[in-house]
Amino acid sequence: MPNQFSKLLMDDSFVRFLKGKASKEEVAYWTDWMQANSHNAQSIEKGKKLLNKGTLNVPKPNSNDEFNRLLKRIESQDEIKSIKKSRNRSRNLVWVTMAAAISLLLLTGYLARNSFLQNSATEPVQAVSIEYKEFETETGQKTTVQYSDGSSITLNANSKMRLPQRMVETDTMQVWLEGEALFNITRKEAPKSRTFIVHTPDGSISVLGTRFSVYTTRDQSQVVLTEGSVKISVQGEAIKPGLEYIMTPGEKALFSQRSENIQVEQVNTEVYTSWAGSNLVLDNTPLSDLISRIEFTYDVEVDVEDQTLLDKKLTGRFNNSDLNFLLSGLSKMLEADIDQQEQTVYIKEKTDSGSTE
Amino acid sequence: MQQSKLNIVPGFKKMEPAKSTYHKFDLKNLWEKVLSGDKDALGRLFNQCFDSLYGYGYRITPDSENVRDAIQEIFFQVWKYRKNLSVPDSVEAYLFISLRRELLNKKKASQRRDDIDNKYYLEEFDALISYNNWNEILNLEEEDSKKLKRSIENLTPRQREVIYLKFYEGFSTEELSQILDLHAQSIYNLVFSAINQLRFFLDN
Repeated sequence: MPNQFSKLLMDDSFVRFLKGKASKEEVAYWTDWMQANSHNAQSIEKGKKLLNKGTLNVPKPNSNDEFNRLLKRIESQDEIKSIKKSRNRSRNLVWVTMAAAISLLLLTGYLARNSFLQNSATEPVQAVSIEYKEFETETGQKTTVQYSDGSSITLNANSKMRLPQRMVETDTMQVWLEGEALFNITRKEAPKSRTFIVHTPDGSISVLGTRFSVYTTRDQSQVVLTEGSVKISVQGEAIKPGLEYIMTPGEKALFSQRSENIQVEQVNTEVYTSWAGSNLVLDNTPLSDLISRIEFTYDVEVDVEDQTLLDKKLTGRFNNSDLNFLLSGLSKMLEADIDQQEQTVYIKEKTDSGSTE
Repeated sequence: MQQSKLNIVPGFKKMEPAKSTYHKFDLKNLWEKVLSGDKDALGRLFNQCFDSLYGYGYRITPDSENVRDAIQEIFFQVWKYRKNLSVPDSVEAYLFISLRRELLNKKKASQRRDDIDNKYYLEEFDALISYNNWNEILNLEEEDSKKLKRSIENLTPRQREVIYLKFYEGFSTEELSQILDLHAQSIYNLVFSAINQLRFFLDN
């Protein structure tokens, strides 16, 4: 039997013609075809009916009302934006005040900080509401939180983290990070295995047990994995698909809410994790990277006179604890003069000793 | 490339889809205006697409509130991110993709929240076929009309979805492959297997 109806329905062009979405050329073609014989004409008639009357009509809300609802939302959003702009300054002030408050808390809790998290053994195991604590570190300050199961988290300077007070026996443990931290998470074997999740403004990193560091900036988050395996997830929005990537050791991954993909490259992980110890390791690291680390850790601004220096690759090991020490090492390495005035560090070409200026 | 394989009806010449059908052209035009910050164009785009988006969304999640909110969310985001958006090949398909994603994300989230009260299945799709009309149009006896109902119920949710989108929204294979996130060849196979299961009634 020629041109079975079921086969015709497979054809996009046939369907377009029945739905009135066909091009002129297609309309001409199918009209000719229809007029060729009565069997064809019947197929067209049957198809038109089936494709226009074959489903139930769902009662629909009025689209104008719906659009007005949308408009209200858009307009209120516009208002929030303009309020935000004018308040941005005072918002920073809020953070400073909060930071001060938290530092006070930290100060009182400072001596206990390595032990207060270790009391979880006495904690009853049930669906408890988890209490969280916020940490915020200042310039030049690092804080390590040690959990009773051997896991530890080191928070670098100028960073902020919200984390559970105690290691509770739940199947997920979550922390929120802005800034930089090194995670050393002990893997628990089934049936006690749990997922550890780091949330950043850009997405989340979930792990079973591993060693990795996370660094967030205004625009993106960076994860460097030393051991184990972690999964990065960036939640999708309606108009943008979500992203996922499972990292293997030795990789560095960059991601953000706005980016279309997760960028991955192989790196020397020591470069990205050494800050947590007393040494800073550089391995073919561009000066620009080192500068952003210095600016981040010590809250200074670095001014480089000769911009071509920024691409210069450095390899070596610095003592990380003291900015002056670091700068004098860097000065030798770059063969440049480095000079600090208040919150600005100037890197300049070496002035010839002896000559006057 | 694969295109000639896809429009597979033997003996038919391959034809390009309409370049500027009324509706596609209008939508692209509106889309461009929306991206340039025209709120009226946003309204017209919304009104033109609302009914078909709602009809599709309701078949994924039969919850009016949810579908209305999801449609709001999509257009809200389109407006919010208009400076970063480009003009898609098919505006309609783009909106359908977004709605599908938004509703499935919500379903996933609600499933996680109450696993016990597992009301929705993630991959469920009720094409809401009008069996009465099918019986009449296809001239089915009572016995066969019962079989038809069973056959449609036996299709997988994906098969029902692809049939709905193809026959009732008139999407091309290419657009379907974007909306359902499958290769064109898989769409073809999906449509083929669905139609094949209904062949007895269609070719009656």
